[in-house]
Amino acid sequence: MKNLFVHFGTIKGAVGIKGELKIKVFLQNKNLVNSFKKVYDKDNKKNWEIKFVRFYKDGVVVNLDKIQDRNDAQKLIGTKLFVEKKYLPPLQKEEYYAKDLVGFIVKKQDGESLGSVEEINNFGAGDLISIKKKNNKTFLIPFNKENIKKIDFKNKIITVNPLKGIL
Amino acid sequence: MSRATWKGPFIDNTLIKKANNVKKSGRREVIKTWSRSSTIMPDFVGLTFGVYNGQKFVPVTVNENMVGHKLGEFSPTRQFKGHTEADKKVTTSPVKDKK
Repeated sequence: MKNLFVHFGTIKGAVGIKGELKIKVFLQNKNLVNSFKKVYDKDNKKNWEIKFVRFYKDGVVVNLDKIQDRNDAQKLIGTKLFVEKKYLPPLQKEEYYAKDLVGFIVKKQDGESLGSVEEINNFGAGDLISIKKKNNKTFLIPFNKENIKKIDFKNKIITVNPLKGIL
Repeated sequence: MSRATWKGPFIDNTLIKKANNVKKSGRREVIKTWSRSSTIMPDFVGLTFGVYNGQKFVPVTVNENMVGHKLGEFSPTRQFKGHTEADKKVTTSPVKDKK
């Protein structure tokens, strides 16, 4: 489930009396919701087809099949919505989805483990991977060719050669 | 009130010295600084500074688009922890203009 689906939004409320739902979307490009055909809940037990989408400032308002009135809609408030990864735009060479890298183990070239990737930030000066050490302290490494040497998706390992003074 | 033009941009003297030393030696190292108010000069392009945000040194790799800004602008002192966007991409390729 975790590898094939991605969390893209959470149902925040019901709109009107016809079963429309307000979804807070965690996407940089909200228009992607238009291309989603089926959405799933966390356990992949329930799925809905998206019938209609319109946008508001924080997210989108959608109409899902099987949801006919406001009462049905209100029961779904708080539900996390997932979508198949294939609906996300394709990646170019040396491009990765930030969410895919979270949890990867970070090692130095000599094999010394530094910790695991906690999140990926961008404060305006390029992407930075935030690495959590075993003692729960975090430090940042720029996500560029100078510092990142290899990303092994199979074993979930990132090999780095950090600049002196970063660690 | 903006800074008087005749003074030129503010840059910490120690920072200039450190940057020059690293440039001359060609060492691969982060230049640690507490001087968040220093202006980024064209000479700094390509260098990586560790800019203190009150808690840790945030690595700031300088590119051409950052010239004229202050170092502190790239090292926030407060951080909102939200959701990572599902379609957020990262790349190891050189930074392109994002507008």
